Amino acid sequence: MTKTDTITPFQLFSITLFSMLFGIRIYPSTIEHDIKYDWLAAQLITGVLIFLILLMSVKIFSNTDFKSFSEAIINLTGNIPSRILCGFICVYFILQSLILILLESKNIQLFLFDRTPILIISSVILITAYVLTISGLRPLARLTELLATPIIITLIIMLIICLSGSDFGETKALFQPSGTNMLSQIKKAISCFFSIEITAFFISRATERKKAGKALLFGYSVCFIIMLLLTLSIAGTFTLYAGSELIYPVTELARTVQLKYLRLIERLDTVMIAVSITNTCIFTSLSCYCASESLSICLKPLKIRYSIFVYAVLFILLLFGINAQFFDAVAGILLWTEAAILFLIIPALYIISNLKKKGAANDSI
Amino acid sequence: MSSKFVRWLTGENKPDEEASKNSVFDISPEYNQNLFIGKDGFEKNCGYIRKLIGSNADILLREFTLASGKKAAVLFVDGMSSKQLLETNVILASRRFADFSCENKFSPKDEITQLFGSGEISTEKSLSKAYLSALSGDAAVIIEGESECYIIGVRAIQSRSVSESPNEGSVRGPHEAFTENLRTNTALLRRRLADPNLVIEPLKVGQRSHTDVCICYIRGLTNLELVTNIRNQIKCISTDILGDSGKLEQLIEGNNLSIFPQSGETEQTDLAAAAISNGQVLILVNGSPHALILPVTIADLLSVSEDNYGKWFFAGCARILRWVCSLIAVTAPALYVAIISYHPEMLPTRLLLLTALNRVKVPFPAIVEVLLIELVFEIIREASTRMPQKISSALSIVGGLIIGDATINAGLLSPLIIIIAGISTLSSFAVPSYSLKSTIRFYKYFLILCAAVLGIFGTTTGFLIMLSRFTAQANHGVPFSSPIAPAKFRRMVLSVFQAPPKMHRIRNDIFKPEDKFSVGRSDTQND
Repeated sequence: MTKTDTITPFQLFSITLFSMLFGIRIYPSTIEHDIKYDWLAAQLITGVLIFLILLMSVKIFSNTDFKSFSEAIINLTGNIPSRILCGFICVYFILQSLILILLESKNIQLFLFDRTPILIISSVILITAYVLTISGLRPLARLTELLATPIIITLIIMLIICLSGSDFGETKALFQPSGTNMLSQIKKAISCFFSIEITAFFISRATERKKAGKALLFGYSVCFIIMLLLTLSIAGTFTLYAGSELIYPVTELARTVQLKYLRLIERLDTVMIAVSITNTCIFTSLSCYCASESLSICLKPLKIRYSIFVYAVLFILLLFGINAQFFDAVAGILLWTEAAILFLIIPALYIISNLKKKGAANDSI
Repeated sequence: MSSKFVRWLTGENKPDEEASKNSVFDISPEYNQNLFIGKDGFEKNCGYIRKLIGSNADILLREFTLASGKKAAVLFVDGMSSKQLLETNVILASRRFADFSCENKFSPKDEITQLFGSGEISTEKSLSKAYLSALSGDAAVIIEGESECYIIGVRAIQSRSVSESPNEGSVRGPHEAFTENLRTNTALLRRRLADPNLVIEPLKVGQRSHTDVCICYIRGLTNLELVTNIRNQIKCISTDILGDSGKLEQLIEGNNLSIFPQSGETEQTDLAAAAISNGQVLILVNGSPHALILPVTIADLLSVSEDNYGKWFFAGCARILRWVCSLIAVTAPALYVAIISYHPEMLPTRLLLLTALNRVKVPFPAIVEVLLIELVFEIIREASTRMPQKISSALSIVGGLIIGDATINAGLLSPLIIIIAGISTLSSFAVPSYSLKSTIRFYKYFLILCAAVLGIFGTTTGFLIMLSRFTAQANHGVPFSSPIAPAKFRRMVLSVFQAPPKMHRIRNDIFKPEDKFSVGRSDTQND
């Protein structure tokens, strides 16, 4: 880690927001016809579980002096396992970026440029993401910090507009218990917390770890509450069934809600797409940063700039393109990988770090 | 990669032997020659000086005899030294030399020092350095038998009188501005800051110009590490001529490829004094009315001296307006291109119809239209800057009104683009810093091109790239984007929105000042 790779607690909060923004935008579409019952309970259980996982990742770094997530993995698991693990994490982050870039490129093509090839749109996103990380993590963190406030304000305005225009009678079904399909609903809920593990990577980069830990948990909680409220209000605005059919519910909501005093910004969809482009570029930068960090551990002897390598691999993958079936398969793999990182790797690291800490305490006695 | 590129561009890798062959003074074997002493020492010294003078008509060496019978010579530059001061402080004073020495109360060196009636006197062992001092306007006196020569301050360089700054106007507050004379500038500064800890540290830059440069800061307030860094940077400069502070600014820049300004500049003496009291370092260059302020943030570049004198609420509103203006100046033409070319659905129906009606006759696409009007504005701006002030106002009328009206009537441009470009240009004029204006202009064209290629998508990605460069910029460890990123909410309120003066108790900690409190602690204030 270089001196330019440290971030402040507020920057960690902003990174958390940007990591969860994609989830916020697609979250309401997780309500499906057949699993609408117990939806809220499943979301709450998953949300609390992930909160605990993040708390564990905070504890890992408060217990130790590790300067990066990769360093923690090396110290806690050893040389060979850490290389394998980091390689696995690197592939995960590259695929995660790939999926998001393709998804957003399709969205941009659908809404803005129906005749522009996806490859061109994807390449522009990739180049922008690379430029964002070219000067290290700190400028990127400052950028997220700079954009966090307008995005929070936008989300609050959206919430107020949505809540004022919602019919909560439509959301009653979400609260009805059925006692079935809870596990599959939890699985679905995990996919909405897509990329939350990125934040665990950045705790180690924070200058004041105690404050940073609090900022991370606070950021996560705020985003989760916004997710729930937006979902409820979108379900209340569009009805439960229509809401679940929307690809990007928040964008659709922005287009649909037309208040008299908002005449000037009635064409909000393009603005919302601009927000989503921003999110995609920043998210890709963050994800590729994590990938290159993991790669640096995995291929330690190589004397190259890992970020260039990661972006080159991503570009090659984009050149090949992905068909719908492969896309779904990759998305499925990513879900399991994310679950593995969240529910296996982080708790395991937490346990090992605790054991090592106790061992060190006993030795000193 | 960038440093390699810069080295290649500047030819730093090439040996500079050929360049140094042409140098006369610096590498001559006599360089840094001490005074010759002993038998014929005085003649040798005069001979050496004459050799240095060569065929220069303005550099004079006048020999005379002291009352004691000793030979002496004074070296000065005609037009740079005051002849009256030379007469009274050197020539006439030398006649009293014999009487003075008879009293025998002082050592010979002290006698001579007290003899010359100047407040500014120093001694120099090196003849070369004495010659350089004479070239700066001082008089160098060589006395037979003395191992040191005397440098007497008799500078009287003709310069512009202190007047109002032509570039930084203000309604309320002081109007006086720096001049091209370094001593006048330091005097103006010291008059504003009568702090005994104010340090005005002299340095020389330029192998041929030997330009005087002063680093100004307050001891015990300004971070000494910052001062040391800046001092070292200036000492490391290798250049022939330093004509203006603008060149110095570029020579000490951390990142030459960055578009964003890396130091502030001002002509206003009060703004300069405020910067020093804020914990920043001021650099004055002889021959330049522009003082450099280091390090600098975006908030500094968007504030004017008037902000400190007007009612805080209105000053705050004006400051916010300047922030908004800088944003409009960058994005307005690009958004026009993006919306007209790719996303007309973003416009409300009536506005869309009106725009379509206006553009019916226009034969060009939106990008050509915008580039044409921007080119016209650039030409008017450049021409009005280069032309005499009396003609430039007429030029603005011809350019702005007649050409604008004619192009609309001819159907070459739509009225909407004139409005958009006009608003964008006016907004850029609201930005006080000239270097920031240039940055805004660059990114305006960058965003226009992005918008022309990929509409809102291109504008968004271009804007993100611009913001990433903005947040990546740091000057002497101080982020340029401060206090917005890294966010310091208290500082943001104070410097972006302008809080009441009573709230400005703590100095901007981004500059890491040694004295953190600007008006003392609140409890002592209440007492």
